[in-house]
Amino acid sequence: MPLIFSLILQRIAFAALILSLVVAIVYAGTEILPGDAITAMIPQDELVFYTEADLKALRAEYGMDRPVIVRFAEMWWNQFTFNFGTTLTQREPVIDRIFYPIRNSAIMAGVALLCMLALVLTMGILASLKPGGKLDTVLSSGTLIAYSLPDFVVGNLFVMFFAVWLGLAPAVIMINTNADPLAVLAAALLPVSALCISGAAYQFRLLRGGMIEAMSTDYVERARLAGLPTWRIALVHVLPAAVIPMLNGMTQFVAGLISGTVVIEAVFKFPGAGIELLRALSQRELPTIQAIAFLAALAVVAANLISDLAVIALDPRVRRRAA
Amino acid sequence: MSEITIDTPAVPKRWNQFRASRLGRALSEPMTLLGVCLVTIHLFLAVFAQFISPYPVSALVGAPLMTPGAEFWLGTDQIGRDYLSRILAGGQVALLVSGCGVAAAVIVGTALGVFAGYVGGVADEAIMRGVDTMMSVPELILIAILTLAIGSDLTSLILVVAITYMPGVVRVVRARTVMLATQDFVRAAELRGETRLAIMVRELLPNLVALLGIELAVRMSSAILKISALSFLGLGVSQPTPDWGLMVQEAMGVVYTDPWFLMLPAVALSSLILGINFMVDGLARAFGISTSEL
Repeated sequence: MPLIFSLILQRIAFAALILSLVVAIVYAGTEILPGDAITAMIPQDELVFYTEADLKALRAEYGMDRPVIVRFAEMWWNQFTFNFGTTLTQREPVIDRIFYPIRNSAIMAGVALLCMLALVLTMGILASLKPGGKLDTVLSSGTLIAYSLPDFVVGNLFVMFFAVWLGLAPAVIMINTNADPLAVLAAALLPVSALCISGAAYQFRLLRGGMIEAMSTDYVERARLAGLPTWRIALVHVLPAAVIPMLNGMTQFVAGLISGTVVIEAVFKFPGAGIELLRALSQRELPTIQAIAFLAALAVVAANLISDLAVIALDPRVRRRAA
Repeated sequence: MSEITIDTPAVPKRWNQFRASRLGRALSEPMTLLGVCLVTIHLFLAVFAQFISPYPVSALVGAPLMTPGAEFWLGTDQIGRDYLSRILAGGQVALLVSGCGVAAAVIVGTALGVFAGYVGGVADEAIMRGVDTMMSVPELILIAILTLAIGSDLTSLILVVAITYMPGVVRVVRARTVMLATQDFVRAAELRGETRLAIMVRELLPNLVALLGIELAVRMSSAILKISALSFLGLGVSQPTPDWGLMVQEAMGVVYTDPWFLMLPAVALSSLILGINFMVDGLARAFGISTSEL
């Protein structure tokens, strides 16, 4: 048992290390590379009115005259304690600006994740019951097509189909950022469906591969010879082994889901963190960009940690290798 | 009678050999063949765009938003530029940026991956932790931060693509190298006393070629998607440079009145990605590379 604990502790320490390195990358990308954050913040046409002394005073005010390493350490500590500071232009707390957008995005991505899981498990099991069969061929090529369609094209097709031709839904979502969670959920119907289409396709391919591989193992052959019904073999014996490749691909999956959420939010004008990030990028609102990038990476690292732990729970071989 | 039996021309025989080869078997699947055709058409159009384009890319040649017709085959855009010329040029931009960027990512990523996988030790740990870190930031957010830092002109975008796609290449190449390094031909080379560099270049690299070809294509399709998504969000390619993602974004405003205006760049983009993915799917299966390891 203690061995398992050390394995789990090791994964947690590893997640913390990765997250620290992410902060370093975001820091390098936002504060070191673009030159001076102060001159970047002030619009070009106003910059001519600032004297060198003004700029120096501003830098001192924002603490940007201190050594890089001190500023990085401070940023690292702030990010890890969820203290994201104030925005550069309006001087309001970043957390106030991003709280509701992040909540909205989390609702949308969370519902999409659940729908995708249900969809992927159903399709994966059905396709792998008879590899190369009619259903498998249809599902496999269908998902390859869905996987090839850009998210913003899928989103726009939905807008054209449901809003323009059928007139069932408004083309652009108009709800307040701080609306009731249920209202957000209702508004997220089309965006969630659009997200599912490209996200589920890739996972389906992973699950189908894992299922077919597990179907050809000795223990499944033995279960079949023992006369167990096919559905029981698929659900009880094959599925737990087949979800492991899916769990191992969790980092890429959640990262892809977040990328997709940003794009889909832009298509539907859904008031989420993606829209907030785009606004921050166009205004060079560095603290907001850093906060959203950090939280996005936190979600990915957390998902990866959970899937690592799930693999440890599901696969006895991983436990034995560590022991 | 004898003429017929003796005279079996050499060409069909070679044709049969080709059909029996891995490539031939892959191409006999309709989906793979469709993919190869789509990619070939797109490459052809991109290479000869200058000769096919009826009008200069940025010239105002007609009334805004004309429907497709005899004068303008695919109509005109909001300010009256020929849409066909712009779509063709958009393909050039997409293939150029993703092609150069991913090629750089594959070259540097392969070097790092083979080194990490074969030499191992501290270098391996350091490289792989860096890779894990980069892959923990969602691609689109990483690309957005990089364009903020480096810029969004075409050269910068190539660099951004190279940086973004390198970690994935390193991971795949390293995994394959670790597997190859335990095999007999590597052991034999080590016993012959060859240097590590020679083993990496002469023994390991040739065995990675099929994987790298697939890798290049898979990352390219992803890079084309991400760059067009970036332009769609207004962070990538900007006017007057034509880009399919940017065109879709501009067309969203007139989707009620002129839906074709949105469909054309969407179809161009989707058919290219679809072609690459169908082609890769078939070829990867023919060369025994599981697409789930990518």
